[in-house]
Amino acid sequence: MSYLYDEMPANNRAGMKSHLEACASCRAQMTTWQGATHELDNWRLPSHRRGRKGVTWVRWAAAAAIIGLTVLGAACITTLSNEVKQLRTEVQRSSQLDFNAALAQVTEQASKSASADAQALIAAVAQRLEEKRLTDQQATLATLQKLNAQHTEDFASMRKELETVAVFTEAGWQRTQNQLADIAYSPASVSNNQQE
Amino acid sequence: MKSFSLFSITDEQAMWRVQMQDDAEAFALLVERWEGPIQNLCTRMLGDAHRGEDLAQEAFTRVFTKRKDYEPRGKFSTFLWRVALNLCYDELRKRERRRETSLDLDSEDGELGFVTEELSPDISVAREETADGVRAALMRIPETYRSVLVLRHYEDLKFREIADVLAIPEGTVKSRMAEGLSQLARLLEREAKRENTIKSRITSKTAETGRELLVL
Repeated sequence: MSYLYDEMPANNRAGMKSHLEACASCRAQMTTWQGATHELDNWRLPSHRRGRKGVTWVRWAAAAAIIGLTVLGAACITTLSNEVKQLRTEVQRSSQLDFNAALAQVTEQASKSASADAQALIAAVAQRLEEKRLTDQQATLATLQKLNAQHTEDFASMRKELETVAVFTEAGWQRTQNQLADIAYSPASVSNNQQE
Repeated sequence: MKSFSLFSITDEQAMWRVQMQDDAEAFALLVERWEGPIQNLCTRMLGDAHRGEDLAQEAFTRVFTKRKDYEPRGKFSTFLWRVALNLCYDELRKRERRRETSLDLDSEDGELGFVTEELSPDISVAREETADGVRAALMRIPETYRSVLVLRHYEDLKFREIADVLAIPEGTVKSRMAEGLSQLARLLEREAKRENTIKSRITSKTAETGRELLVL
């Protein structure tokens, strides 16, 4: 399977290849599997972009620039004529520019991701602070509400007591009034009786 | 500034933001990056593009609701493939149950059957038929083999990555791949034979009618 999907290290691959050349049954098996993979290719779905293509592209560009430079260096050693030298410097300059550009791009990408990390951290800290502030606020609010409720309750009970007192007072006053009235009337009736 | 810097962050960094800060922008980035592959995986597991799209959407919803379960040590894609694949397995199990209950009504396995009665000379139609044949054959392969075939062949995951997604040894992945490919080759060969007999039957029949017409 590793051989079929090109996941085998090169030295193992060579061994496998020579074995397949020698062994007919293994070769037949491999052909069957290869046939099946070609059949699988017949079922196509709309293609899609995947992963971080941009970064890979930059990497490839950098790799290509490096390879280009190496090749150029090797070529320069073998050729000595002035014309070629001139050409070499020119090409070298342009590839240097390419390489610099690729390097700058890679560096930029790296610094961008670093700043993204920093930003993420700052955002996390800010969120924590915000959460803390919110919970504090909520706690204060809850205490205030509790105090308020206590006040209302106190006020209600005080009012009730006052009302009770008022009722009692009124009753007492009424009683006194009645008694006074009794006292006012009763001597008169007594004197009336005496006159008769 | 923020939206631009998002393009350079890795999947894992984006998922961390989703996990820690419910960052909608980071989640949108993940969806944008992975929607296509996940849709294709579901379509290939179910043999149905519409249902594949639905399941892909469901997979992302599940990733968001289960964002706290994601372990930052592993690759985000492994987590995502696993979630999507589990949804596919659930869907296939549901289908199996439905088929069992309606087995008395239709003995033919309708949606998976081959339609080879009419052979069109149009090449594009013929190509579509081959694609359909492959799809139908894949649907007949047990889902444990199918998932390995789809992840390795179509989604281009390495055997090691598939082993991580399925949480099984790499050797098992390879043996499943071998068995899956063998079964697929057998099924397609059988279908090709069947198609040929139908073709020859049709040509002999047309020849017969031609002869009758000549006699008349």
